[in-house]
Amino acid sequence: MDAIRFRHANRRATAVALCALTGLAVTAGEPPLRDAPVAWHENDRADVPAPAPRDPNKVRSSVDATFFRPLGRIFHPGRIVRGIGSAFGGDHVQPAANINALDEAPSSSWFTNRIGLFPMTPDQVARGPLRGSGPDTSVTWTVVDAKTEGVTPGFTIEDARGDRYLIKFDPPGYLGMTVTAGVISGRLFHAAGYNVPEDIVVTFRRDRVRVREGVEFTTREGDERTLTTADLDSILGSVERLADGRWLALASQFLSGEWMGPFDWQGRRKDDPNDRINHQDRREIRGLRIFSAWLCHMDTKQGNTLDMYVEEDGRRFVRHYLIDFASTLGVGALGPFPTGCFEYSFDFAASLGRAITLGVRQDNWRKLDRTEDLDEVGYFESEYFNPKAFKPLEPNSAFANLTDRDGYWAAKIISAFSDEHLEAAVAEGRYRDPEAARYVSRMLGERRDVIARFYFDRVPPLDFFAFDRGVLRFRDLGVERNIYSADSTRYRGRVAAVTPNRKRAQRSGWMALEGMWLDLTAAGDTSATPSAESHPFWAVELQVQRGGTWSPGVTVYVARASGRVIALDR
Amino acid sequence: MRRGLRGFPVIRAFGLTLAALALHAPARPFTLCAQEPQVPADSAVSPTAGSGVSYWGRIPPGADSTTATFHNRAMPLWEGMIYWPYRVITYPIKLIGIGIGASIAYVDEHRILAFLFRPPGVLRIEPDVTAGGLSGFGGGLAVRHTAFFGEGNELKARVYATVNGDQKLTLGLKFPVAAVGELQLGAGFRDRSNARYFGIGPETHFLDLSYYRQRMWWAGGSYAHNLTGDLHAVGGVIFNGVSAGEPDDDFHPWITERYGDDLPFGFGFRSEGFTAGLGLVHDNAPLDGRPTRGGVRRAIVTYFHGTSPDDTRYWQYRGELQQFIPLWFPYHTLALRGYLTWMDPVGDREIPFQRLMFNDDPDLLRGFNDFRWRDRGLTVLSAEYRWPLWVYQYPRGSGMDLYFLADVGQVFGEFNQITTDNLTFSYGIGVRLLSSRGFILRLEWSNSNEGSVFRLRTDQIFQFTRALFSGRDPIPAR
Repeated sequence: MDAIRFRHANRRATAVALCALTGLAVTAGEPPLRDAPVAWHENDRADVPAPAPRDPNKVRSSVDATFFRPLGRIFHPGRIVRGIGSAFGGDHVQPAANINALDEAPSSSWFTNRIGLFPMTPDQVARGPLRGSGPDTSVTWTVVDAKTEGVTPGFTIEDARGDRYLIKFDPPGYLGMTVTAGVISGRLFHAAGYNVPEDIVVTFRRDRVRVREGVEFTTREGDERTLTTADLDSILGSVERLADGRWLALASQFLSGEWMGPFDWQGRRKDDPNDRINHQDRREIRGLRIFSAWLCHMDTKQGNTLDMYVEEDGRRFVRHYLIDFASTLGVGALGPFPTGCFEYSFDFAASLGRAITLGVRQDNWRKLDRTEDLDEVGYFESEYFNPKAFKPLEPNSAFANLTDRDGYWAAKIISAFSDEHLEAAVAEGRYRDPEAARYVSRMLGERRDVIARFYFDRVPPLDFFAFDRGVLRFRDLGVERNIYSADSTRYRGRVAAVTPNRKRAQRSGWMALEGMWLDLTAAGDTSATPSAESHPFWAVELQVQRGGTWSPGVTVYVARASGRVIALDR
Repeated sequence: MRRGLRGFPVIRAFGLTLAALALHAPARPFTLCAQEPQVPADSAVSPTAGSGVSYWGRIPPGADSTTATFHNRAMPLWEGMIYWPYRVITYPIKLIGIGIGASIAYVDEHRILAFLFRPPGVLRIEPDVTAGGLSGFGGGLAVRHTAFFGEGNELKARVYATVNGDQKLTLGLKFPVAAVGELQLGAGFRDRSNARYFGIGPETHFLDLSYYRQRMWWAGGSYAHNLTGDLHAVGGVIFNGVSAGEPDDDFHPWITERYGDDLPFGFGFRSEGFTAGLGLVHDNAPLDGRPTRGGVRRAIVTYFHGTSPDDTRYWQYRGELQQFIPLWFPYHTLALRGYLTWMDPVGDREIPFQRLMFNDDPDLLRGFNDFRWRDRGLTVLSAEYRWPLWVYQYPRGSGMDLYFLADVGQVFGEFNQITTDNLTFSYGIGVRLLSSRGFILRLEWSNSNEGSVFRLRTDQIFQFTRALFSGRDPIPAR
């Protein structure tokens, strides 16, 4: 009898402990409120000595990413408890570490706020990171290195200005497919805020390229020898040409600075004093999952990232780049890629699903119909697109940490791209078939809207708050960006005065709002309102209704003394 | 976001109460610390440089007041209390992972895998692995030379051995002839120390198990000539011998122990002679490992003329049909294979039992071990329902298919013995591993009323490799 009682007691204790842990997991501590300017820049570009370059083994990195790291996440006790807690409203991980009080990612050596926060013209989007106009085509290019490994060969040239470019081609049979995708996606990633190389579409004839004498290169077999004209002819002979005999290629300018190798999606570069946050906990790296989903950027292995030790205004620091967008827009290294963005290369969950369903369930990627008359376009569509279901070729530690708040942040930026922005970026890809350009622009727009609706349904898109003369104004990005109809949208809000620790005095009742504004002088200042000394902030909770139930609330904090919007809770 | 809590006030109150009572340090989201040397001020205020008039109002270029140093969030106490013990306990696993990772890196950086799977030049090394069934676990290597005395010629030497005493050594040569034909020469030796004998006919009982040793050797040539499209005429002559003797000590009961004075004809001597064969083969099934259409049709007649004192002579006829039928989704396939083979002795001669048909690769009754059934005739209908389990990036690339299998068949001494009472039935499930170049191996479990059999094989019963070059056993002709 005692033993039974003990067992029951043990179970009770376990249950209580689990509940306690779960409860703790969903109640994250919030920083105290301060009436201070919001941080818009991250202090990660201080002058530091050069860290050691990284050159991780590609196979080992893939095995790590595919097998070991996912297992580590599955068995991580903190994630397990938070996962249980997520049923009660928490997140499976802690919030991103580099967010400011307004839930934005400040500009940094990783990311520069662009179209998400600033109005940009289509021309600015199209221009992207370009400072010039690509390699100088007025004189002969000199080949200074060659790439023989990989599916498609390529080489490095030096132009008359001494600038170096990597020249990359399309896979056989798919002329224009990866070159256009690479340039278009590069432009969009740049406008979103990421650091990318200057990529441009080029065409050239054989007589504009010559081999520099004495250049050593590594053959496909791993032997080192001098590069010859015959090698160049062999490379050019293996790739397709335009009808007029010219070669079509992507020219990617070498990044300035000292090569530091790729950054890892997990952990940080410990010998870089500026690199203080684990990469999987950076907002822009987590949010990259949604940008990658949008563009079907499947090849997000760490080899497609690059750190450069740069010097700017007398300071030397590491800048972090995304590179190589050839495997985007439904295209892979071998051409059209139906499984890309739907499954990992080794996808245990998908395989298990197929095993259990005995093959009677069809995978979405098998339902895709490639528009065959658009030769330059891969498997890029919007019908089966689900941003949360996006999978790159390898599992990604940072993507696995994406929360709804991170996703909303990315969706907000993506929804800032207008159709004109997209058309301008697509034009940079120089599709030969105008119909292909129209199709890709349309798909980008439709996928943008799918993403926006997905996250705006989960996180109310009430944003960009401003307080002026007692009135709090905000914008409804869902209406503004044509995701929802204004006619069926209603807003309500309530106000309370709060202490720096968010302890509130009596709160007003819900007030229906006539528009996207709330007059705090009327709503908050009553005789019962505590003094600004004890409760120096207004907390305004807003909700939106689009025909159904009221959304979760967004709480914005305003300093009563300065009238400054100082924090936001989503 | 805590939207879930809003709908559950009791749970919410419970969670919040626990949170308030718990001794945990609040997480440190970030530190807006006293400023160190800051981001250099951009001279130009530009929307593409992260400063200017934003939707939040004016964002100045980096300045002390708007620049912050961010740090990792601190792990809350509750999480630390469960994380660190976990970390300590699982540290040995982490070390193993590091070791595996380092080994992978070593193998890759020294190009060991690259050499094995795509060695430079014309020499190829192909690993061969087998497990389960009578042979047990084993493996070997096949060495191929893809330009043996000239472009297009091939040489293949293959050796393997298993823990249960199955050993094989073969050598094959292949020469294209005028673009429409192919000449193959081959020789080999195989020793199976645990061959089994249960008696002859469809009504033998599995409790009548006995063991013997079977050795065979062969040398010969064959020629295949393309007649039109996918239709080929094949012919060949092979000198071969097969002996049956006492097995190793490990395997009991011996055939001599169980059958004593009633030993089958052929035991204790070596049957040698020439096998000559002619046939037609129509093969339009793709060789990509995932055929969803086409099939293989074969009609073969062989004649064996013994040269050993037993003076065995017989005709053997074989008809076979394989068909791949596409199902509802891409790469979902029903694979069917049916065949009948029959030995007809010349005159009143008897056929040594070691030359009779028995169930063995590729003529398997998969719920039964090899050698379970033996007689002059064998007929089987096999079916596999295949569907893709995993694809490596491209639908036609490397991957893995899952399949259900079913085999119905029997041996027979006379045609009137083909009855439903004598038919055996087995079923199972298997996995096929495929590369972009085709089939690699299969792993299958099958079951019958006599038990279960597990097999890992690098060959298949559909589209099986025939011919001397590959080292297929020529006795009995399949």
